Amino acid sequence: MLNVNKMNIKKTHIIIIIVLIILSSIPLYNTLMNYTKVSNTLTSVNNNYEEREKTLNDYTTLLEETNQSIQQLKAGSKYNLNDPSYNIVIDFLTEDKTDENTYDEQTYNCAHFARDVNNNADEKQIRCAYVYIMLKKGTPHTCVAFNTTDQGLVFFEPQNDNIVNLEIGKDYWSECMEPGEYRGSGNEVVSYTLYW
Amino acid sequence: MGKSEKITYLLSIILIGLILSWLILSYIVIPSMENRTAELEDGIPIINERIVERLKSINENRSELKQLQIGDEYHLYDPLYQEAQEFLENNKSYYANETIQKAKNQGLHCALADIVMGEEQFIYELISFNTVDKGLVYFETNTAYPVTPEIGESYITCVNPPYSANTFNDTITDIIIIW
Repeated sequence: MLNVNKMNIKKTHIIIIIVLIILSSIPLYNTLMNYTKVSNTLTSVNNNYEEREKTLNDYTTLLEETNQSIQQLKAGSKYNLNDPSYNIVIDFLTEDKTDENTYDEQTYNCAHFARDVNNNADEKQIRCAYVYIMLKKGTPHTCVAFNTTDQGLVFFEPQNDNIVNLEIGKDYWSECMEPGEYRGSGNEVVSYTLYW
Repeated sequence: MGKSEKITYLLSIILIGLILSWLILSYIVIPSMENRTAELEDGIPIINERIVERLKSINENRSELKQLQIGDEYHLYDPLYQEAQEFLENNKSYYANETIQKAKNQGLHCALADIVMGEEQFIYELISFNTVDKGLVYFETNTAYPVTPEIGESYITCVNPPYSANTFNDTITDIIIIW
């Protein structure tokens, strides 16, 4: 009799615990559902936050880059060039000493003379062109040009500052340059290009 | 321990586990996640505000950059490397003189760089810029390839990407820069 009672008590215990498990599962299930919902919200908000943070970082980098570009451009040189009057050109060429340099076919030739006059003119804010001339004999020659405000386009030989009336078909040294000097055949101008 | 006692014990443990899980989730995990969500949600408007500020500053900088990059053939400025590169990438002219003229028309201070090669003194024309961020740089006008010419070097090895072998002597003997 006592054993039967004990058995019944144990069964009752088990049943009570099972009922309790079932009862506690209901709020736990609800809590789990809530957890899932909160977790999804957090993931979504987190993704949104990270995306915006990345955008902010990208914009910050871009802003720094543009700031740097502005500083660099402000620090860089500015060049204001002017087309000179004919007299300004003459004054400049008289003052400029490039024509006193010594010609050397290999190390300091016509290209170097024209370069130096052109670059010196730029430094004095005088707009000057480097003129590449192809001669009939197949070798190139170079001189300089100015677009003067009073006499239009004028050419000069940088080795002696003589004026050059550049014309295709004419001998560069004896016919185009003033005063001219004959330097052999094949010096007729075939074409020329201005580099401003 | 009898069978029914074992079952009772096991079920008790399950019950305790369930109750603990519920307690931990309800009072620790979920509130912590909610707090984090709230923090992030509060942070988003602040970030948004900063994004708007940055955008405003970027736009202001862009306007300032535009102003700094205004010029013509009489008003030149040394450009940024990227600016020079973009100009050349959009350049449709094949010849150096046309390219240089176009660059100067846009206010870009640039030079004709005559690369003198070999005993024949063959000249190859490049465009050169004294960029404000990378210094003096050279480009081929027809390909927009950057070139780093050095006297004594073979020209084809100075181009990036380098060209395949040449049939003539392309050793650079001089670099003449005409601004």
